Amino acid sequence: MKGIDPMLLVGLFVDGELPAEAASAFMELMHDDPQLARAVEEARETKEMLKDALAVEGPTEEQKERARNRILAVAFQEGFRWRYHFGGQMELPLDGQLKLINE
Amino acid sequence: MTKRSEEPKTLVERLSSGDGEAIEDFFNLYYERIFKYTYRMLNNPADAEDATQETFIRALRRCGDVRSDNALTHWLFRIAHNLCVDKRRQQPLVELPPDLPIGQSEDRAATRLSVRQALMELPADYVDPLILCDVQEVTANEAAEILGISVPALKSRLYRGRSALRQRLSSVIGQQGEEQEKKKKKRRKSK
Repeated sequence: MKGIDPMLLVGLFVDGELPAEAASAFMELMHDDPQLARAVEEARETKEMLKDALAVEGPTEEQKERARNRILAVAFQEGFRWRYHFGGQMELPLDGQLKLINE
Repeated sequence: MTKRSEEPKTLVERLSSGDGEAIEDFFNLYYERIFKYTYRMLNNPADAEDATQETFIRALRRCGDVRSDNALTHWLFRIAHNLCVDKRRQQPLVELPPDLPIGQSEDRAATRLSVRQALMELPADYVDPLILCDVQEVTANEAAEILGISVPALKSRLYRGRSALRQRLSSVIGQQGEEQEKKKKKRRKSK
């Protein structure tokens, strides 16, 4: 174990990143060493507390709409192109009046 | 064999070719995740809204830099992360949200506040991996890419960060444990 940071091992174990053999050896060590078992429990608890403390609401519909409008406006100014879809096909006759065809 | 021209274009290809409708897909796919990330980083929904919009605008301007859809997630998070770091530098005193969601017990609300305060006292080197890996649930590889560090360095910071947070919280946890014990004793006596 010399040279290996115990915190690194605890972290890898808590995150399920130890290979199966190493994980079962670690569990045996935990069984014999209450201090190690406690470190694992504390790491798990801290992780959960952090997740709970930083749980945030997602954006509201209003915020989302505002963001969408601003982003699309900038994209439009900067040359992104849109293909507009209409229910029927449109034609532009010579008098300039748009009318639906193929209804 | 399918011809290359018949394959559907990837999101990155559509964005790079200036396809406006690809922006809608891009927005719908990532807006909420990026908003939640910037909210957690900045601790404030108004700043998060600004930072998220700015992230998307910067991403659209530089969408030629990203090569594949697989790289899109960490590339976008990296832009958001850098923006948040800049904002935090400009306003190091972050205001905590005054109200916690309705329906939470006082104990839980107090714990949440203590954790947030303890987190703000930690060095950024610890905070960023904690938010990305433990809260945002980004993979270690992606988090390392976002932060521009190696995976072992990320893990080392993550585990040290958890330990440092735990140390800062130990007094709070101890106090709360004692209070809970007192409440239990009171309840037992009253019965």
